[in-house]
Amino acid sequence: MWKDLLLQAATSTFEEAAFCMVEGVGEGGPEVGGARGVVFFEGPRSGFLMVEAEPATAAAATANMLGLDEEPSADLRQDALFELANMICGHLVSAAGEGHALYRLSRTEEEESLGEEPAAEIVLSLDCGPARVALWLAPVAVAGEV
Amino acid sequence: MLNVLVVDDSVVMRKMVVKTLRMSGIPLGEVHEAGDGAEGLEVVSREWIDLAVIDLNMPVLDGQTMIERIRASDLTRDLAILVVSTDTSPGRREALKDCRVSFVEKPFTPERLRAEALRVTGLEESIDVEGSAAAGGDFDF
Repeated sequence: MWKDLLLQAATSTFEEAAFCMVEGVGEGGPEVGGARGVVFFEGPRSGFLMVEAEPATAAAATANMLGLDEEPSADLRQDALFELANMICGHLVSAAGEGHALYRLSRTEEEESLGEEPAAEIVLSLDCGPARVALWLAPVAVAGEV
Repeated sequence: MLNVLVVDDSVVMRKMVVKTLRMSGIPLGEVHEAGDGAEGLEVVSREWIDLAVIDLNMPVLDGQTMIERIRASDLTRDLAILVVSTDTSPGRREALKDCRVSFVEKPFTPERLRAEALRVTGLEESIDVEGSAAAGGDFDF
């Protein structure tokens, strides 16, 4: 379920916000190095969502978002990755909660939990380069558990 | 001329909103930006603002709290507010139902942002958009 939701949210966000068209989807493949934007979410479920992209991919997406002809600064590229993660995460949790659960989203530099196996992960082949999108979920508390 | 405040913790998103409004044919006066709800309230307290475009998930002070404080003040209670957020769910709309706000979901189209900005400011009938980029989807980014 999570992978389908992640793919749907990531595809629509990259295509509608950054005008980067999805040409293919993988589950891992080659490492996508470079900058990353991570968003922490809390609500009925909590966890992290990360968007990672190579500098050229991030630059193209940022330039598309802002309608720039020139190369966007590193700060703008980083901010764009955070905002893309924010939009993907917002749509993901909204779809997962069927629109009725309230979630709080925040940017985070906290990346310790990202070392664990993600609950869902995709690598998008975009027309502006590859991008990795991954989701980590915190364990659900069981009633009566201390 | 509309004085506008855009409140979002993303610089990129603030630039996207401002650029879209400038291209929309809406006559803009001063344009202010803030990175969180607290900064936004500070701008609202010292500047005349006609339209506030506000994100919900922000550090320091979130958008919903900012909006509730704007509505609680006699000086700002009638300010036109447009919420631009990933969270336009039924649950969020219910939480803000008494705050008289309009919603635009991220990512937004220029046409959608323009239409809601005109509607919430009551300018729908008075803006002449004939022949402008704003008339029918010819926003060229």
